[in-house]
Amino acid sequence: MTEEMHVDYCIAGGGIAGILLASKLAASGKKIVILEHGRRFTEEDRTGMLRRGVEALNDYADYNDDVDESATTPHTSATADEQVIEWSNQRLFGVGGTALHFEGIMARPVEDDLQVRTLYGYGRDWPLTYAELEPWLLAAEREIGVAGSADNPYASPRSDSFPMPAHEFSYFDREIMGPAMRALGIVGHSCPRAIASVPYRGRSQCLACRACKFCPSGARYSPDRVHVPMLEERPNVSILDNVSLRRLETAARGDRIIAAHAMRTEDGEPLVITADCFVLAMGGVETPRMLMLSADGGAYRDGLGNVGGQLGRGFNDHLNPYVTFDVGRPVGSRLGFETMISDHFRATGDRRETPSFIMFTAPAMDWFPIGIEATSWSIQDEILSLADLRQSIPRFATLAAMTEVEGRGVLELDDDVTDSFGSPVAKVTMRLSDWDRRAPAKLGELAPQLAEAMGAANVSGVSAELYPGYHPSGATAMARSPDGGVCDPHLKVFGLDNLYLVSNSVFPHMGANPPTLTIAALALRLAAHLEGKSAL
Amino acid sequence: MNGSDLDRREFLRVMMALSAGLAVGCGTDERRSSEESQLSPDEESLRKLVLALGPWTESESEKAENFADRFVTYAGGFYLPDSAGAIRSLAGRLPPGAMALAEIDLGDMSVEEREVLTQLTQMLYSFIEVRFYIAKEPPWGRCLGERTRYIQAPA
Repeated sequence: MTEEMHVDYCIAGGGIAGILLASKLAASGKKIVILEHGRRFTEEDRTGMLRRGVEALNDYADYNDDVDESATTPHTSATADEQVIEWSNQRLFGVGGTALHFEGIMARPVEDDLQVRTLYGYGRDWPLTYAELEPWLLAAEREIGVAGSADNPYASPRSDSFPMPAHEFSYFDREIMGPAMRALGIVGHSCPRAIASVPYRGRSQCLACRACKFCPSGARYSPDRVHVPMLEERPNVSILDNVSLRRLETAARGDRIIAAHAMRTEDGEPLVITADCFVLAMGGVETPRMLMLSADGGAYRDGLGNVGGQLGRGFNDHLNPYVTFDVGRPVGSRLGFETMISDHFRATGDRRETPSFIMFTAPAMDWFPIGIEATSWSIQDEILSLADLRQSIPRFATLAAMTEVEGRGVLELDDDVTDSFGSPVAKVTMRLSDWDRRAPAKLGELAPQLAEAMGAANVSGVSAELYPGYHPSGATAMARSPDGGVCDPHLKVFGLDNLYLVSNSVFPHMGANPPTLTIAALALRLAAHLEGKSAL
Repeated sequence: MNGSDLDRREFLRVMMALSAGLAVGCGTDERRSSEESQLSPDEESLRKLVLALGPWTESESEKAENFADRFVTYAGGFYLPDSAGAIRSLAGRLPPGAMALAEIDLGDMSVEEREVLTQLTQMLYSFIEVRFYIAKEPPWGRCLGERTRYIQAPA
């Protein structure tokens, strides 16, 4: 039997965007339902995952490890034509979404990121300026609790300070990498983090547990620990976990959404939600996919909002090249995350020539397989010196970059693969240009210079193959008109009066910064718009 | 060094696949019962190799054996049965009770033996538990009362 429900706001997706949006709308007293495909995790779940990871030598233990991927969307990949890289997704399904396990990097966009077409001739401009976005970035920093400092000489203007002081630099950053970067004219500065450096609104300060994915101390922001409990206190808000949205139904006139058709994943029972307003907050892959799956036989036969043929186009993700150093002397302990980054290559240089990128440095990252270099660097004249290898482990450090990509990728429905509901999965093809590959190449040039400056004993090259950054964006871009995107600057889908989007899929272009802070800012801005407020 | 970088990506796949396999039931988080703890000869060989390659000395044999047992349980399937011959042969070269060997001569090994030994070493020294042990870091996930350890010069 089909269960029916009527609400004011139906929000699909219980990640950071949907949860923050709901947390702002909830005060109005209007009835809100949040549909989340995954489940609600408990603190016991976190403890158990960490314990089992340690016991079973599973350094990659994660929240969705026991989820059958075919019940959601299998990871996507493509292996065809020119300069296509395999693309995979590390999103999470669950109340809290991917922010359940994110690293908490809260870097802002720089002003130029929003005007790349005008300034540099690639990508797409945002229909917003940085000045328009800035108050919402600040609001998001306060809402989430971001530790940061004004020590970044490359930063775009900010109207107020961070709500918490930055985490102190690690020994390695302060004494080794920072001076090495300065020798090359690069300033290393603090990294804004959604990890409390001091107690913040009931959250502990970071206790250096060094297992940030599960954050035993609770210092790192996670929606399910901060905003979800507040929402659960509200009588006008329902968070339905294990409920999967399957499609949106369009009115006969094609001007509105009249229902969301969902299914309870545990027993397969259908659920129909009618609402005055629908918001898709399903992340960079599932948001465009849902618009495609909701194609009707009328005006939207190619997907909702696809008035100008833009749905699925402009898919983007970062690239994450890495290098490894044997610094030649002990690098000290790790807090669990990088304390120093540099925006140098976001704010200097000609972006027409080389994509912008952020650099991160740290004593070797916990999950990074340094055993590869440690082993190969310990073999000489056919002798593997295990003694040397063991001595070298405390000397290892890693340097990573998060690089901007032009955004020529395409997201479409896969004709050959369906999920366990029988719906086509998303297929992503990342088409990299020669320009896209110049930033990893630049890191490759820089690494030996940094190695020399720090007196390192050895340094690896940059991977010939490239890792995606797991920041899918751009496939439902906001634009001033349908020939430039799928939704307008207020995130309303073109042609549909009561359907809004909020996720990184609405980014016309993604700079080198991780997208989470910007997603949060857009969610807060959308909440204000829906409530008829034009400003904070 | 680019050759090793190609390996890095493949290696990461292996590590992640290993973890995924564990999560869907190829392994189990329950320790073997005493009755089940009888290792096959190939598993014994793998265990010997882990003890010999690892960082633990005889004074830490309990810790070493605990790790080696878990390695055989959870990661053994990556090496056995496909590389059983190489594992047996490598273990056969070890002196009885070998732990924390200082060096290994790769020169007189077959290509397969060398590959298996190298990969096993790479994997072993990529595990957080092993790295933290060597670096004298508190266990992964344990909150530190004294959180400024990371800003201090290494001892």
